[in-house]
Amino acid sequence: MKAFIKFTLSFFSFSLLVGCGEAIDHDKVRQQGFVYCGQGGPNTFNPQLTDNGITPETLSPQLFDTLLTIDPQSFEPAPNLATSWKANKAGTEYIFKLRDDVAFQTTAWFTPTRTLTADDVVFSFSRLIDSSNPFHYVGGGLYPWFNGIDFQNLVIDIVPLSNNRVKFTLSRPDNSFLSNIATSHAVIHSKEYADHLILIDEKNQLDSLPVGTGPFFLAEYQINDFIRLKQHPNYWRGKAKMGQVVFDISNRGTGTLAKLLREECDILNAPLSSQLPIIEQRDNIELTAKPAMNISFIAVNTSHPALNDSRVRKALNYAINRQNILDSVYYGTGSQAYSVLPPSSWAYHKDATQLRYDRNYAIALLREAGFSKGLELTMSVPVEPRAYNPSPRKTAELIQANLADVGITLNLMTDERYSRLDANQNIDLYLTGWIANTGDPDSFFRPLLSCDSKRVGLNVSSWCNPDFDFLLDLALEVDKKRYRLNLYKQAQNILNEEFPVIPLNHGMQLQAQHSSLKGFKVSPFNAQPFDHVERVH
Amino acid sequence: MFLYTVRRLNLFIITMLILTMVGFSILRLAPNSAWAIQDFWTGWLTYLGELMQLNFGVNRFGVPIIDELLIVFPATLELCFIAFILSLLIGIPIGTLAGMKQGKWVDTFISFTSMSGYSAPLFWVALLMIMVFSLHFEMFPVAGRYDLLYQIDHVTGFALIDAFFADGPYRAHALQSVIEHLILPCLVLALAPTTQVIGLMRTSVAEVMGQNYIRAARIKGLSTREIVTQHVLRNAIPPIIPKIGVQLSSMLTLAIITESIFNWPGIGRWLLDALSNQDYIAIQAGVIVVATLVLTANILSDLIGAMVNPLVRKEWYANR
Repeated sequence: MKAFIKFTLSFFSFSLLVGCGEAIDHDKVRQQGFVYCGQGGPNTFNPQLTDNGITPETLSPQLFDTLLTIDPQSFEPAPNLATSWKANKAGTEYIFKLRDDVAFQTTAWFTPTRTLTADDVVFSFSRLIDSSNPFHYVGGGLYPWFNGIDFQNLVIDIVPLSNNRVKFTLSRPDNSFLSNIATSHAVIHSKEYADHLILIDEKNQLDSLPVGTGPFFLAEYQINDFIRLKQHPNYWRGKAKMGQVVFDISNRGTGTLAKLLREECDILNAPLSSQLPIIEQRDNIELTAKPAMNISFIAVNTSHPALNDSRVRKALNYAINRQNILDSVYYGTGSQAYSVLPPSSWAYHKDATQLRYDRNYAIALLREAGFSKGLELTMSVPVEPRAYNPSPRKTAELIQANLADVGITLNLMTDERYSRLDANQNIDLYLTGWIANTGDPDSFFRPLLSCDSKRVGLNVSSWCNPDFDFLLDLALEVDKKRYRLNLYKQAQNILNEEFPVIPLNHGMQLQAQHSSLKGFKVSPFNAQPFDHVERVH
Repeated sequence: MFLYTVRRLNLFIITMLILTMVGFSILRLAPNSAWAIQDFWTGWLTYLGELMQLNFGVNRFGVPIIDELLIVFPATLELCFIAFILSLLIGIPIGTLAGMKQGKWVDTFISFTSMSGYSAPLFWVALLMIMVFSLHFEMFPVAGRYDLLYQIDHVTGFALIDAFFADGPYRAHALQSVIEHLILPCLVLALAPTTQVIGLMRTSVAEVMGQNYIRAARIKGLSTREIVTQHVLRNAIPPIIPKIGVQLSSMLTLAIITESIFNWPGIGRWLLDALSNQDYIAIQAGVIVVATLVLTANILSDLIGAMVNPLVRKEWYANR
């Protein structure tokens, strides 16, 4: 007993001694890295396999590179791994010239022996479109984002012309092709790594233990706890300024705001709007808000007998007071939606006559459709706040009150496990949203509302309108911008007649960070590489 | 003593078998589980065979559960163990003091404080501690096991030990970060067991104080310190050892709440995540592991209690 007490006492006194001179050294560790909070954990590390969450939104630009990027100002494609590209007159053949000094990451599970070649590009894209690719069915064989834009039928063939030139052949001209392969989903994997995995028969590792060309590589991952990325020393733009980035993905505990205030987090992604006043009070925390390409909406399950009637869907639209939601949920950081497209899109068409609050009209429409006695619906509500909706729960309750006003009883289903892919057919309404990956209007319409996306299950409305699809397809092929503008205007008119989705509001992309961190690149789309981030005092 | 041990072990094995039936039934709850289509008893035997090899199955993400348990379980053990030591270190002296001064104002004060400590809801205390010590006085971190910027390699799973034996330029700081993160959750978790230990000690000491040998010691002229260390503690502690062992198991329940509030990556938080994911395989594994620990702790404390307290053994022989 005495020995035990002695041991305990000496242990604690030792640790107290350790505490001396700590302040200076802890700064050294912080100088070398930062902690990023506010997003949930990933299901996979391969952005090709998923259409939302931390992997495509934040991790992808750190781990991987894409052929092109999207210029944050002009929304035009800009060179990245590909230094230049040429298209033929018909717009069906694209030849990309690749940078020749791009090194893959050396990780605990793979050591590359060569730099990026055309083979890697061919491999990465053929996995998506070619069912004979050995990796096509690994991880389920579903590529929701690419299937949503019908990528597998758009690209017929990809061939390497030489070591650093690749040719893509398309089945039809597509105005959004370059933007689409510039998104964070269209990442380039290492074919050498893939071949190695085939040899050791561990093909799943391509998605769980990634090897890319980005500024940071995956060093450590603990489920529901954290992801540690470390600096890739041979990054082709020059190595990142920080030695490591840690993503705190734990979803329990007192909350990320408390961690931010105690400097346990350096960056808080998408803080709740009710937390903004506290964040603004602090001098050492900076809040950045930028308009984003997103939309929060209610997807209406059109296979429901009552909701199959467009009058009922319209009535739902008129019954919702968007300004009210904006005031109490967004705290003045968002803007009201008058279309599925956000105002910064070039094809934006404001329709204030169809998208407005008119309770009496809603009641009349319901009566006309034969539901004057009332109607009972269920709505699934996600838990995690997103850029497009800072508090889904609160929004859902406001909508519930609005609908009760017109005689519709709404049951809310708060489900942590809810994701659009395993959407349950018994749910009538989905409170959800969309963050666009490109500035192209097609990236809003096609993944959410086309017949193709209905087939892959992205389009939770199960709505399919051949006229609408025809307009979208035509808009991708016409060569003049004003024709496209006109076509998208017509498409938006169809949506405002049919209401397969009820647009609510556009959110701002908010981020709170310690003012000592500098060098973030901003874009209205996903996060950008953190290679220039550094801590200055 | 041998017979006593054998009987205890028998009880342990039978309880464990019943427990595996519970675990197995949980497995069969999953709608598309392969276990559900089998006959109950044959399936159960296969299941027992798998458990023997520590094969708990794979979770929703395809990761073998035993790998996850090896990470989360030591974290819980670390938290519980330190909180347990803490509650003994605080509880025994204070309980003894209260027992010695039974009926005096010191005793009333200690009893009142420990009662109110016991009745305060744990999550409320935890949040209050965070508000005061982390957010207001900025003394301790709010959540987690260590500052994520320190990379502590996972060897034993006990962060204190891992940080202690890790190398690298920031070893001392990592260790300090681990200790800082331990303090608040340990204090919160130790609260309920401490009050229990105080209560148990108080009654036990009060009983011993009334015995004739204490009076005799006093008459012999021994100092109070000598009486306490030579006679009171020696006779007051052994009878309560089994009861203190029970505290360790009830602590595990409290640990689930503590872990979830302090975001401690232990089995409690992991089990809550499994529940919200409806991951039946993980729930089953968690139930089996936690229950095994509780049973083992109970039986061990019974055995140790019997070892140091001859009176219990005597009772056993008398019954036979």
